[in-house]
Amino acid sequence: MNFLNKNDNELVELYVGGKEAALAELLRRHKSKIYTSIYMLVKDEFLAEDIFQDTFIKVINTLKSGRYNEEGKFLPWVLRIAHNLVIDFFRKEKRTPVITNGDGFDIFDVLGFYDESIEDKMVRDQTHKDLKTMIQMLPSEQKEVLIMRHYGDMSFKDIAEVTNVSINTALGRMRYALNNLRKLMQTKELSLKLTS
Amino acid sequence: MIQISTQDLQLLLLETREELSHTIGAEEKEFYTSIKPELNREIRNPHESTIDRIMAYSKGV
Repeated sequence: MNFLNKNDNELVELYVGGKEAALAELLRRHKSKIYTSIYMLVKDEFLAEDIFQDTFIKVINTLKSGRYNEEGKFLPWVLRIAHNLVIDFFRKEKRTPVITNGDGFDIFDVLGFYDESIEDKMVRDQTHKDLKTMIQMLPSEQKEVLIMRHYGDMSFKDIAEVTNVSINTALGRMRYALNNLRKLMQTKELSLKLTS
Repeated sequence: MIQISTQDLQLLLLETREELSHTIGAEEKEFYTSIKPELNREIRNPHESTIDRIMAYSKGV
């Protein structure tokens, strides 16, 4: 059977009806959105793998027990499960996500800024290199919305449902996040210029 | 490494809260578009072994 032309809801129905390959297609279709959303919140590859696996164990148990009632909203539902597991983890650990500036991330390797001086380019490179760190500096509710919107590809309506806030609040948090990131980047750029 | 004090950050966030309404304006959209390529570089996938374990679990339920 060709699963590529099936929508998520049809795949869920096929899976519940015993077609294991339908779950494989749902995983193939959504794994990077779900995994990246988890990873960006926990910033630990092994922990993200564990939470991703636990998320799908819950998904499988719910689907196979016939308790799934989120018709047409498979991805937001899975992301809500993942989000709750991340919250549970941090609650158990009694800590908030760690600020890290890991793995040699060189943002502007692939982009050209031909009108800039070498100095300006270095400043810009350094500024963008720290984007990941800046995201981790955001208040958790703003970071959550940015991650769900960008990596989970979720609508603000779905984000609002997952985080138990109004759509206006979800939109406001996204705007706070973008404004704060821009201000942090401007501040960083300015401080690099002053020290160079 | 970034060297911005917590106090500076709090001031920045406070200023931002005061000037915001609950919409995403053209300026924010433009900024978001400008950082999308960098954000996209963070997209990653779980290991195949994790997918295999999930599928194995499913078959066993």
